[in-house]
Amino acid sequence: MPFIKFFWKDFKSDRSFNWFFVLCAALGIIGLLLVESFRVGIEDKVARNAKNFIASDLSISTRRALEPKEIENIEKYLAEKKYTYAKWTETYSLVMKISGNQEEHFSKLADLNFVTKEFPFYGGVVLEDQGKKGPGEWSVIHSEPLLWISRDLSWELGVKVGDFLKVGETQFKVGGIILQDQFSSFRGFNLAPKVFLSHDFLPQTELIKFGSTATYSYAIKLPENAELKSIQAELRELVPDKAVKIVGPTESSQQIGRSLNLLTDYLSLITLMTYLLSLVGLYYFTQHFLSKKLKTFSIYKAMGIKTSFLFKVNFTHLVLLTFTAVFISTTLVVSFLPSLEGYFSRLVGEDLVFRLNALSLLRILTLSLGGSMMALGPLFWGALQTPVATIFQDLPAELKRIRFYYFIPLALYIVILAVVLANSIKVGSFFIGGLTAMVCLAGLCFKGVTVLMDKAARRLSFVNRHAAKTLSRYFTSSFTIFICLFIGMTLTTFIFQLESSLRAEFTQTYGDRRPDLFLFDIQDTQAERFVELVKEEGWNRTMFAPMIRGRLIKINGELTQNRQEPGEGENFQTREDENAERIRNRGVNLSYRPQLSWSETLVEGQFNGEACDDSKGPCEISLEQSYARRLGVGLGDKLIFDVSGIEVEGVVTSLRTVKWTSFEPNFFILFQPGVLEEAPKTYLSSIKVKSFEERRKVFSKVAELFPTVSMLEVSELVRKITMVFDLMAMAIKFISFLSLFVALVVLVAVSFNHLELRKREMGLFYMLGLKTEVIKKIYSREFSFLSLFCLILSVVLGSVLTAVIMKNVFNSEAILRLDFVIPVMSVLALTLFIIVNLRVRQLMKNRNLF
Amino acid sequence: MKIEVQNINKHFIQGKKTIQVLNEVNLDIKSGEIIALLGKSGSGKTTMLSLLAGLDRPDRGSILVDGVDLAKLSEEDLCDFRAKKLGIVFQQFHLIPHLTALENVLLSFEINGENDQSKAMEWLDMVGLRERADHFPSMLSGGEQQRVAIARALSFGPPLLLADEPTGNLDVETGKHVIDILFKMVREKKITMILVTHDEDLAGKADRIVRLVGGKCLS
Repeated sequence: MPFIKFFWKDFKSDRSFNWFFVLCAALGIIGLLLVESFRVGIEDKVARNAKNFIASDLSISTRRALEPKEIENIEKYLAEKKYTYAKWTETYSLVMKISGNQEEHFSKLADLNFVTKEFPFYGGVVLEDQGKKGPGEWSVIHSEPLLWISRDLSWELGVKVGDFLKVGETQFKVGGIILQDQFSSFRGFNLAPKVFLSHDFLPQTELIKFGSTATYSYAIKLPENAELKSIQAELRELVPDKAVKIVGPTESSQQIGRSLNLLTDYLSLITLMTYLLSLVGLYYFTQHFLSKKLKTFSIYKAMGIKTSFLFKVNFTHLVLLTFTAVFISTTLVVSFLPSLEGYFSRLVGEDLVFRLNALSLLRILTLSLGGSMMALGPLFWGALQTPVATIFQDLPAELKRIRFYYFIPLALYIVILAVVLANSIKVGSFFIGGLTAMVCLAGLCFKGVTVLMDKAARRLSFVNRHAAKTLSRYFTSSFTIFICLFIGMTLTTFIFQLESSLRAEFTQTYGDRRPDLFLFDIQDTQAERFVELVKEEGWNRTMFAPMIRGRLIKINGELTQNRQEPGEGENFQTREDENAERIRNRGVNLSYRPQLSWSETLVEGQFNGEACDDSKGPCEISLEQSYARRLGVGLGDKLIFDVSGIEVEGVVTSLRTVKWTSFEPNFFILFQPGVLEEAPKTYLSSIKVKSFEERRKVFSKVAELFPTVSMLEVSELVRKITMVFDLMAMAIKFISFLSLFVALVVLVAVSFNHLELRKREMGLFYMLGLKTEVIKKIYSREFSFLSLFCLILSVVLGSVLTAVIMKNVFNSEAILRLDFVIPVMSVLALTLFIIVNLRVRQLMKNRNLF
Repeated sequence: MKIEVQNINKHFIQGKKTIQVLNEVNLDIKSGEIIALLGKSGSGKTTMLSLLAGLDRPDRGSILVDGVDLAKLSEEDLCDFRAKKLGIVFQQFHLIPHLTALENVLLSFEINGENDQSKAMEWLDMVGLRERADHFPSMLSGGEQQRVAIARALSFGPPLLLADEPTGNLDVETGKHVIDILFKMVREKKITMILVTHDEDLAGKADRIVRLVGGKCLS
């Protein structure tokens, strides 16, 4: 018989299996497609606007002031090559509203962008009533002290076009209100609203002093045919310090997308869980389907059809079903994307167009085919090996030839998928390891409890006895139902508990110890007067900490600067690689203090707050624990920092954990006192206020007396963080609910099948004289027990998991709130209970076994 | 247990066609009598068994069991009737796969609110399967499974036994062995038995042969 004809007949005869396969696989793939479309949408948008983000073809930027020699080298090179460039300096400072000539004491922190006349080469801003201001249309801000401010700032300060603002020591007129800004897309949340002003007025403002928090950039326009890579290399020779970034649009957009990638990486992991759940359903049903088909295979083989031919038929069957599932899920996702775009656009603060390109579809198709083949292939292979003699058996043949090692490729495949999707070996392995451990632990608990129940069955009532025996003796199907329910419920518990714990972490005030205002860029020369002012005004200053800029140059004698240019390395770079690279090359903030603050906890070694005596050996350093881990150093390691050109050596003698959400001035690196006191420094401070009036007074006094000092409202910062957090939490919850839904579909389908297999048993119970209600009770009790046990175990394990993550990742306590989790899971259990009851009622209609 | 089947009729609708399966059937069975019910496929044997087991109700007529009309009993009473007074042996054995041999026999006691494991064990002993008590049905041969089914059907002392082709799935030798056990026990306990079979030799062992032809009983 021709292959196609044979295949089609065989394919058509398995309709219910085909339908379930497609439904289950499509549900599993939907989540992956959604996250993929989100990722592609962002990548696409970022790639299309890459040049806008740096306003040029090439950017040189650094968070430290460039050395005169570096400036000379860069500008000489650019002049020789006749490349046009703009200077762009970004800093934070308080801006004050001025009414007439009287200073009105009302100020806000702003993100100030000083740009030269050439700026921008690409992109622009859209001003209220003035339209887009693109390249060549910025001359107005250079002719007089004029600034363009973002709409948020105009609202916060209550200013309009024509009003005056004091920036540093200079007054500026508001020349425009920015409605849209193409330079700051995808930056997550900004610490402060944006302001654009002319670079010509930067010196007059006197904002840039030593140690000021600022980013200094050159935005360079290259000719059409310029070789970007070779220009980057030539510039790198002139500025060897890799703390100075030399990036093109692509590298820049990769960096911009990093924080969103982190979100999509985690979303991908949850969708992977959903996909794995659907694989569990597919495995269960394929096993059942093949058990029924074994005899048919034997008959085919007895008739002379070769095993290889049958394998080809079934392989094609599997491929066709997977293709159909991908097609259906893609159609569904594409149909629903427009309604999701609005929500995700708010999440990233950009108008997003979700899309699925050919590459992403190919990725999902390959992933799905790989999963189907590796999870179900061994089942088909095993089934086709069943001896022909099966046809002479009276009882149904059983699938016996499948060995556990057939699934080793699947296990490896899942691990690789997790690592690739999480973009992190650590997170991917932790996810798979954790999932495996949870499933094994849950399996052990389930096995243990069912064995105990089986043993104790004699002492139970008739209904409970039979419910217990069924659970323990139909272990495979009971466990499949249990594990689907367990994964769905544990994920829900975990996501909701983690969310409430993190929310509590952000919003808690640590017994009213958390400060209200956070001040930075207090110059060394201003420190004494600032301390006096605090005393005079009777403000509650909770901390005053020195900050010294430095750079880690050696760890145990080895140079740390081995950094590649962004985008220069391998295509697949894990997050750990990126972090390690970043952390080893980044400038660092150093500090010193005589004792640890209330927000720090010593976890290893001994903290030394006494003045260092370098005749006794290197001075001591205390590192924040996770920073030390990322840096790959521990107690006893020697670190050398470059502080204003001087090498400062220290040995790590203690590790601390820090509660960053205390919003107190804290540092990754603390030196022993007596080392850095003479180094050029700025100060950070925190203030606790009693009332709104006092808060306003602090703002106006600081803006008046220390115009270069920047000040943040902690509550405002918390509000912004929680706003982003809320949107992220919603995305994660959305995907988690999808996972829960898939779990429910799979487990309802598996439960149906489980009950279907026991239809004969129900009939027999009835014929032996058991009343219908009692029979229903047996099955209801079985599923009630299953749900209850699942609920208890998932709440316990989900809570433990939350506590472990909170402790190890966020160094905080978990808030175990079950007020939302329990109702969601109860509804889930109740739904299952109702469905089971309805199904039993339906199956009981045909109870005659004659 | 005495059974009087009086003028029962039963029809089924198949598509647009009405099939009269039983047509004014009358049959009297004395207490302790063993009758063999013979008939071709589709002759109404299964329908007759379903009616006698109280699983279905006749369109017309009555089935008196010790004077009680099954057709007039409620669903609940029918369950009690099956639980206390009726044993059934199936052609397909129909043991519960996740229960051991002993637990399958014990099930009949449990349904009647008893949990006497020693009695169940005695019955397994009687059918020669004491040493197989902890085995699950999948570990037993066809003959052994049918012996467990017989023990389950008779252990709680029902006065009536319905046996639906009990050797239909067994080889000749095993079938003979199973039938010997079944008849021995039924006669010992003076149980009324209705044996449905195609096998004329087996039917010959019964006290009386009843044939179902064209929806009617011919003795």
